[in-house]
Amino acid sequence: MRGRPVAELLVALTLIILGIIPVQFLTRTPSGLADAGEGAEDLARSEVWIELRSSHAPESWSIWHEGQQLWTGGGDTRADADLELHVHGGQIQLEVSGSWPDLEDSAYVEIRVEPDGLEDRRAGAWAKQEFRKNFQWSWE
Amino acid sequence: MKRFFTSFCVLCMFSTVLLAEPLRVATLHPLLTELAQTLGGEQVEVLSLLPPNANPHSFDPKPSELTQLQQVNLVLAMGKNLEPYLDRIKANLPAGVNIYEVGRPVPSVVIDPRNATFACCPRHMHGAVDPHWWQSPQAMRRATRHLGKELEKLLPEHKAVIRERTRAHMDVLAELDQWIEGELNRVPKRQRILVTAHAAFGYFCDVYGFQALPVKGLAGDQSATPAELGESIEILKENKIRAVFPEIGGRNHNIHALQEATGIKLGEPLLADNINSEDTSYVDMMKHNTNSIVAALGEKETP
Ligand SMILES: [Zn+2]
Repeated sequence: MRGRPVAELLVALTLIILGIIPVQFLTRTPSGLADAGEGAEDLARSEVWIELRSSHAPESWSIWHEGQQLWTGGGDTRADADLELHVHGGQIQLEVSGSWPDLEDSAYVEIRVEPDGLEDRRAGAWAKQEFRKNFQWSWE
Repeated sequence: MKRFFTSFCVLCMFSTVLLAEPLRVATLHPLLTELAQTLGGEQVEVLSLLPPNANPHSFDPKPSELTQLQQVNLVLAMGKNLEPYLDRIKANLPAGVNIYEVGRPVPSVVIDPRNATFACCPRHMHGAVDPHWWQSPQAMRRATRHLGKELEKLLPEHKAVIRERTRAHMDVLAELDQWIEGELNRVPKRQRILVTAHAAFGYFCDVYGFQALPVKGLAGDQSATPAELGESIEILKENKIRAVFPEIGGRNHNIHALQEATGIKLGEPLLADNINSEDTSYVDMMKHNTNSIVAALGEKETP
């Protein structure tokens, strides 16, 4: 029994490896499922349709998400875009900025978000010449 | 070389003819016919399978109608399990032709299990998804946007005009939504309870802050038993319900019995499953329902 330690070690190693592979296979999380998530809580990245409306056309406006400018436009009372956003714990945070340099009065700005598979949400705010505001929505 | 050029020219002419051909779209609901024509314009030719007033839950396409599907490039269905016959449609489509479920992008509203007695049919009872998503203009707006994208994909050479029509129709729906919200402001919170003949207004109730009241014996083909009617009368009284709403073209047998027994106001019949004439548009349908609800449950306008 003690004559061939190297051969015994090799047999033992082979058995361990053969045992580990099926267990690993059975217990791993399928990568596709991990990303898709079941509810809003697990939603990592989602395609979100965003619509901006304003009572007065801004010279420019843009959308910021996690410190990054994702979209920019201007010259129209309405604009929309499909954006890929992070939905953390069922929440979306966006910063909307706009400028109306010639505006004497106030402009009403409305933003609507429609994440794929989740109900839409909207919010509005009054703007004066320069506007920068954080919006946050959550889904249960 | 000459032969190559001739073939090339013939091919070009052939593709031009192909491009000029409209997209042939079959629809399974009159509201989808309207939507396809609004977004597709002259670039689509619509074959409408379900006539106005027909019941979409129990529609049974005839073999001759199924044969017509051999000529189409796309089928539009409401989706959310409204059409139990989709498999039969699928089996009759030429290879590569898809059924596009227009309601699919709309987040589903589940029928409250307590409202199961309101369900239109056994398939939509006990926690099933309410298939009547078009009862919310916001849902219709989302569905419109997605259908626009689908048509843009299928008619890439007409992308710009389809997008323009889609955006214009979305504006119409946003305006409609605002109008409904404004009108419903006349219905006090305590009166925002909608008693209808079947659970078709889940999306409407969800968006405009109404509650669908579970009342036994209102839906279905069977008459309510005296005991069920008695229980319903109690519930209506308890909730101080002012009016109940029958449906145009719906099964209203019990709702009339209930109204007779309680003396509660009968609202102007609502359009739930379908429109009642070819001249009724989606906007007309939603305005009709809103006016009916406001007339029965709203406060009188103060001069
Ligand atoms: Zn129905």
